[in-house]
Amino acid sequence: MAEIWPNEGLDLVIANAGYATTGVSPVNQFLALFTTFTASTVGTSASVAASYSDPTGGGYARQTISSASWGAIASTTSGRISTCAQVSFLQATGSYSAAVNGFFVGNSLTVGKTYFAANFDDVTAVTINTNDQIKVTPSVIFGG
Amino acid sequence: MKIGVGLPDLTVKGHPELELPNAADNPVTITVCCECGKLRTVLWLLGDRWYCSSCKATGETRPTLIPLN
Repeated sequence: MAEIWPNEGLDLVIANAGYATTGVSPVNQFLALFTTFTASTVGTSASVAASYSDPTGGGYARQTISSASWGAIASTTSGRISTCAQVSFLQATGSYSAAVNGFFVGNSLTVGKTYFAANFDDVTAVTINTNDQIKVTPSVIFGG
Repeated sequence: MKIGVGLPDLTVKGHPELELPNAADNPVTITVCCECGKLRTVLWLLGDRWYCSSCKATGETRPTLIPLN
């Protein structure tokens, strides 16, 4: 049996999910960092937002991603991709509570629900100390 | 945990960037590592330049003083 999500179908799904400039909902998503799991692993499909612990201390705060921040949908070898404008976190005023293993995008500034989670593409944990500042580039790929 | 407020992304004039086209004629400009030029999901600000984790680590071990005879 064959099945396929053609590009135009994927593009509709991506836009309707809010991951493209042509999408309208949700208006805002929220970018968070997580310290659980490892630099090369994330939660399972049964994991919930509470499974991804945000770091504490150092002035850490989740950041807002508006729907307008998502770019145009393009092709990769893995499927259709949409890349978000980069998001800078506040310069740390102290050390974070633990090393950061990746980031996740959720629907709330507090716990909420998780849309997706990912490690950093260099699969290296990030240790944030005083005065460190990072920026993160979220992207999503939907494969057919 | 503090509640975040959306911050305008920090940009550095003259820094290497990658422009991703947008159907709405509003391209997304992505800052890349100033040393290797790669697009990475996480970049570090050192001084007035953004570095990927690899180049940041390399740079920390690089000599910073001119040797004297």
